[in-house]
Amino acid sequence: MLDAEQRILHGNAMAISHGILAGMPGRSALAICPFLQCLPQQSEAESRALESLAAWCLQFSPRISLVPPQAILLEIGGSLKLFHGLAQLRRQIAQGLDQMAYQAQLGIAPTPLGAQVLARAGHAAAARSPQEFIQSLRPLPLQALAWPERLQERILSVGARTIGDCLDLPRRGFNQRYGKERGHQLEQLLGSRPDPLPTYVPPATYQRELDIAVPTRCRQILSLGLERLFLDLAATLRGLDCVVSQIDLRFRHARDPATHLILGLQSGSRDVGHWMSLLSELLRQQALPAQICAIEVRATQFLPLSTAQKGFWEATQPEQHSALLERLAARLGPSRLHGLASCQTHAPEQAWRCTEAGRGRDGAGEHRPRPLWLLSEPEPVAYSDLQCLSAVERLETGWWEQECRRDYYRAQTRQGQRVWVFRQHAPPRQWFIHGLFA
Amino acid sequence: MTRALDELLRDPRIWRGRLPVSLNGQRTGFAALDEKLPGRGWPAGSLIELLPTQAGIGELSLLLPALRHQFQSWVAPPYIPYAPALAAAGIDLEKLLVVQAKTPKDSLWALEQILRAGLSSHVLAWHAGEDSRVLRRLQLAAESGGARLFLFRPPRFSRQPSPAALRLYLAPAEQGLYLRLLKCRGAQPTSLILPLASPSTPHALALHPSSPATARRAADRAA
Repeated sequence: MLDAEQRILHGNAMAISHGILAGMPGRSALAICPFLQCLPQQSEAESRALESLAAWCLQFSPRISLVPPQAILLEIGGSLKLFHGLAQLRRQIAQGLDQMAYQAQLGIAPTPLGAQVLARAGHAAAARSPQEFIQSLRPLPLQALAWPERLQERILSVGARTIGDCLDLPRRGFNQRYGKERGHQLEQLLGSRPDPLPTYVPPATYQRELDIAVPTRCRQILSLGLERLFLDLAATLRGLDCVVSQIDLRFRHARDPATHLILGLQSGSRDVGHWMSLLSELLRQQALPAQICAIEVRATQFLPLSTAQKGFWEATQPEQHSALLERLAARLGPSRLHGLASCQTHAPEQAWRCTEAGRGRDGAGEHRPRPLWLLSEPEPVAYSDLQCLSAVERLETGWWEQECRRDYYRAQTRQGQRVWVFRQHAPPRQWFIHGLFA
Repeated sequence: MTRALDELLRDPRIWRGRLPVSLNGQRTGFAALDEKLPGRGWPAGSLIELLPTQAGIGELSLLLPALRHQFQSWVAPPYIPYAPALAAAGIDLEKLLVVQAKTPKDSLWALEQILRAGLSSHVLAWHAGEDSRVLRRLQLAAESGGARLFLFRPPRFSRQPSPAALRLYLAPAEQGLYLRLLKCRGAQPTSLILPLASPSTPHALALHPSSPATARRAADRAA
């Protein structure tokens, strides 16, 4: 990777084995290894990635600070018990980072600066007590402090090669010579001076994009990419103790407008396995107009986990019910499944309505004899076919609505169907079947 | 040898006539009908096929007593299930799910998903397809989920074989509903007339003493 001045910032293992070193001009590196692939540094993408990592880290500790451009600080003292000790916690962090294809150097020390120094020096062993920390700190080279190079040279010129040497120098002289801040930094490093850091507050929305190197239509590749984003989103949600009820997916094409998919969730969820099963249903049906070069995942409404509202269906076996409803909605479309509610009104067409699945309810006060089936459009019928069985029930709509006045009867047709018929009050006073007493 | 045979016979798909079948029946709400059914009610975890001559003869009223206070799904109903009437009949609208898929294929898929999930104890479905493999699939799905599937089909299928545990042919009768048990696992096929109450009065539960002429005519038509 090249920095702004076309110098090598760092290389992968293969590059290092060919003798590429950090700080080398790009041209010399190419001379050593002609098939070297140089990529420019993308500082903006890096800072975005650092922030997303910080959000991910919230699952391990509530107190996180960002130290751009490279470091994230976690206060883990309070998390040790929850994660069953340091070794377990370390393993979980390392595993998670590996899953997301990140490489990181961990440093564990009693002070934030100390942890950074240990990480920078590649000192993997944790320094848990102050004595242990100072012991592991002393032999580290000056470079680990990441001070400006000129300053490092000046300190080196007085014969101080390690951090230990630095600490041994008389502090007053050190401050006069190299500036007060550097002296303060040394004190913060040891923990004798407070080191306040701003706490990272994650945004309550999520938006990430994943570029696909080779544009594709292959659903398997897309699923893999989306799974990575989903894992990231789920970790962010876990950190905030939130769930989402909707995830927007956008598939970007080179020329065509983006394909937009919505993953609707009955009750809030952060279960990646469940999302993936819904996604496979969605993807199976979605026609992709062109090859996809980027995927965007967006979740704008984070809901607190505890107050996620639950319908009656969910109350008994919450996960299974909502999982079934979501699976059905993913394939059939959310409008295709619904509950029923009754309302308190005289107009038969308005006395019922569709509700969200699992949220039906009875809102009618009194119950009059009504048919179990209602025809969506009243069917004209000849009066000679009917035999009326009941007295008339006149239903009128209010004058403020489209005025209509109907006389309803229960009747039987010649074929033995029990029907609910009405006669329009206005001429031509025609008869209609409006429902069936099934 | 006998053990292998016993195991084979325990397969729920194998049905042997004249065996005391232990069917976990649920009261139908009609004593006359319960008497004729081997489990003294609607059999659990099975496909129950209903073949009404037409809609609006009391085919839903027959099921209403069993549907009260149950989790239920209605898949592909032919008309609008009218919420005020359902509520009046004692059905909990909170426990009701209606699925209206775009195609018959999608509704069958949804039906199978609902049955296999085993979350609604009663499933009502309307399906006009001819394929008997579909019925077998549904029967197996109902078994695995332990749900009662009431499948409404056109009456022209009454002559076709079916894997259903119970098949009922329904026709209108004077002041009631004529029922013919075309097939009944563990009992003899028979016929009876149930008096269905008009929607304003509660259901009467007695067997109609005589079979009126309309019922006989309907039976003749069915045969």
